[in-house]
Parts: sequence; structure tokens; C-alpha cells
Amino acid sequence: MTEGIVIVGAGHCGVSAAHGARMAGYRGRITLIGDDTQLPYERPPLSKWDADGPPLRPIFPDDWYQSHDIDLRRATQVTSIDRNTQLVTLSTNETLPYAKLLLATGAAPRRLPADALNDAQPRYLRSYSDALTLARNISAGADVLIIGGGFIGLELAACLSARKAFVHVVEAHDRILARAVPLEISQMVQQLHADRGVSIHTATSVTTIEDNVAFLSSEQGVRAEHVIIGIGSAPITYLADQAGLKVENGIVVDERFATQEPNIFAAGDCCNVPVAGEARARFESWQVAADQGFRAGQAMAGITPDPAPPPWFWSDQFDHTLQVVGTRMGQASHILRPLAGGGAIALETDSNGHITYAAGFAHGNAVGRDIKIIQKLMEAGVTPDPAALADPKTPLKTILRQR
Amino acid sequence: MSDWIDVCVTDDIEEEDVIRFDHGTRSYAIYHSPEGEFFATDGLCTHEQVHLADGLVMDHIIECPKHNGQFNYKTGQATRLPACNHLGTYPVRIVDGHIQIQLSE
Repeated sequence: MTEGIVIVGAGHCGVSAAHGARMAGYRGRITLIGDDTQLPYERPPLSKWDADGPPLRPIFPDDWYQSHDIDLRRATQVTSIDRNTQLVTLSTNETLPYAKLLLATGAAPRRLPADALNDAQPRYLRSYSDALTLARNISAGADVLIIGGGFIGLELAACLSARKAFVHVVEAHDRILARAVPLEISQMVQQLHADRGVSIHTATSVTTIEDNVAFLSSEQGVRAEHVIIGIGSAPITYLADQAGLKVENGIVVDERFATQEPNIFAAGDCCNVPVAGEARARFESWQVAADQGFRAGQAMAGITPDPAPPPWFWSDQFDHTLQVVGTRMGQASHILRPLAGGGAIALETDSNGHITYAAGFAHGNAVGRDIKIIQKLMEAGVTPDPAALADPKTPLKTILRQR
Repeated sequence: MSDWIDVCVTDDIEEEDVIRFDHGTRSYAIYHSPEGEFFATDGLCTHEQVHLADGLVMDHIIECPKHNGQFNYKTGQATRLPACNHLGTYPVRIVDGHIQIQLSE
């Protein structure tokens, strides 16, 4: 297997795939190709700034790539794939052979149609350089309009308002984070933002923007010197499209992350995976990207990938943390567990009493341990007493030990 | 020079649990393993400086409450990303029911 593994995309997924393949004992060549100029870095901190702005935090130190014999190519794109000869062509005009190819190309921010924005120059956030541009251009006292009350938009609202900018968030749904969390958690996050001076406009859209003023569907006008769009992201699939691979809301893969071409794999934000039975999903989260990458690396190394853990993610909002584990099913019954120090965890269970989803929001890291225990309760398939789950005086670890 | 520092009594830490112990300018995490042994490591995650004592102990693993990095608290070894730097570990002894840790310098 002299041709080795070629990984397209050096975000968390691609780096984790290289790691996963090496941890699985793969000894062939691994080439990791990324278009960013930086050493592969963590994306979550890009919307969680410290006093100096967005932190640049490498996933692994520089020498990790040498010590794991991974050929990292920065500032390089893959321009085409030839499935028949098993070659990729790079932006440097070099061609590389592969035995196994992983597409870890990620996702790109969804664009808002330009006509609604009129003369505004909207900004988007995906890369470190995007984050630096925001931090350098938006100073204290600036008027910022954020379109989209999802995680990116709200984290940026918190960062910018902590830096004394005046922030308006416009969300088309009737509440923020509507897809991701239950109503009670949405309300707690919205209240925190209101307390810290962020103006959130739900069930509202932007009609037009003129001369740094945004006109909203509520007929209100707000100052909008800077406009940031955070309305989700779309999978980057042009290489898969060009290679004739099946794409349906992401590159379609099986449980081993293989496409219909057995030597081409896809993982992370760009792929669409089977979740349960016939159901499929595309995820956009740091943990899922890392986990899928690691398991795709195992698959490419020829071993059976580890089982998928429940999806998990976190979001920092000012000095509070939101953590979510599992998948919202909709039909589920609903349990609210208030936390002793403030905040709450909202849980959902299926008709058999298995926990399928939990979202916790509290100051500091107060929800971290409980969300981990809930994840373990989910993995163990236990059916805890709903009254015990709702009672903050019953430690979750006790429920876990009693199983 | 190294000193044995009194932390607490053994009953203060439940089995398979952890407490935070601050001494001088530093923070440590003291663990009670399921086998009844005690261990000590640096108190802050090597990834983003979060207190590990807020995290979950399962067997010999401490999981950071923030981003799920994991360490083996007996050896200090980082066992799951995003943690990649190991934790410092410190000798522990029990004297008359008191947990003591040995800190150098």
C-alpha cells in the first residue's frame, strides 16, 4: 500500500482521521491537505474570544505531524479527483496517488441573497482569518447587526457586546436556537443576552439596509454599521460532485464513511451518515467532526470503526455554558431538572423511557459533569425514573450507579 | 526541597470522585479511585485551564467538564482530544487518615 491515504481538508475532522488511522496501526503514507495557511487549529474558539480577540489554538503542536509521519500540506487545494487512476490533482499542479481518499472538506457559511442587503458589506465567520477581520474592524461603541440567532450569531453577540459594541440580533424564528434546544433553554439564553445588553429581535427579518441603518420587518430601524451573517452552513461537495459521487444534503456515506466508491470516504460537516435504521443526518459540530474523522481513519486503516457516541456539543454565552447531548426527536416527553446553583437541564425521553436528548445551561462549567453522566445513562440504555431526573437532590451519578 | 502537604481526611472524597485542592498559587485535583487508592494531579486541564474537579471520574479517567478531554489520573496521560499535553502527577500518602501530597520546590 505505497500509495497511502490522502485526506482532503485539515480541519478537526481531517486531523482526527490522520490520528485515527495512526492509532489503528496504519503504517503507510498519510498526506493531509488543507487550504488554510495556519497549522490546523480549533474552530470553536473563533467565536469565543478572550481579551486579545479570537485565540489561535493549534489542534496538535507542530512536531506532532512529524512524530506521526503525517505529510501536512498547508495553503493547498485539491482541484480534482480521478477515480479511475486513483489520483488527486493539487493547486500546485502536483498529482498524488491514493489507496484511500477521505473528503473532509467541511461546510461553508450559507450566504444571504445580496438584494436584501442593499449597500451593506456582510461578513461571515468560518476561518481564523475571518475572525481576525471581525475583531480588527469592530471596535468599542460600534453598531453591529447579526442576522441569525443560532450558536455562531449568539456567541459573536456575546463576544462583541463584552467588547462594548452595541449588538442587535435578528432571528426569523419565534425564538433563538429554535432547532437546537427546548423552549426553556432558549428563554434562559435570551434572558442572559438581554441582561448583558444584547437586543434580540425574534420572528423578525431584515427588509433592507441603507446608509448603515437596517429596516426590520417589525418596522423598526436599527443602526447597522457592521453586518454579520450566521444563518447556518452548507456542505462543501464540489469535489464529490465532480467525481460523480452521490450527494444529498452532504456526501452520502455508509456507517464506515465509505461513499459508493469503496476507496473514497467522507466524514465531518460535508457528509451525510446513517444514524438509526433508515434515517440519515448531516451534523455540524466539533465533536461529531472529530469523532467521525477518527472513525473514518480507523476504517481507512482497515479496522472496524468504534461505535458512534451520541452527538454532543457546547456553546459559550458570556460566562455561561450550554451543553447538549443526543438528538431531538420531537415526539419525546419532556423533563426539566433545575440546578441548585441556577440554570437547568431539559431532558427528553422516548416512549420506552430511554433518554434521547438533554440540554443544560448554567453559569461556568456547572452543567458539564451532569451532561457527561446523562450521556453515560444514554449509552447504558437505562430507563431512569423521571421524578428522580427532575429532582436536583438526586445526584445523577447515583442513578448511574444504581442501574 | 519537597514538602508533604495536608489535603483533607480520606472520608472527604467519595470513591470514584475528585476534589479541588488549592495550595499557594496553584490548583490540584485529588482523586479517590474505585479501588480505594488516592492520586493527585495538576488541577487544571492542559487544554483550556478549566478545573478538572468539576469533571466526571469514571474508573481511572477524569473527563474535563468543558470539552471532554480525558486523562488517566494515575499516570497523568492525556487519553482523548482536545487534551494532548499530559497532566503533572504528585505522590500521595495517607498519615493517620489524612491525605498528604508531595509538592516539589
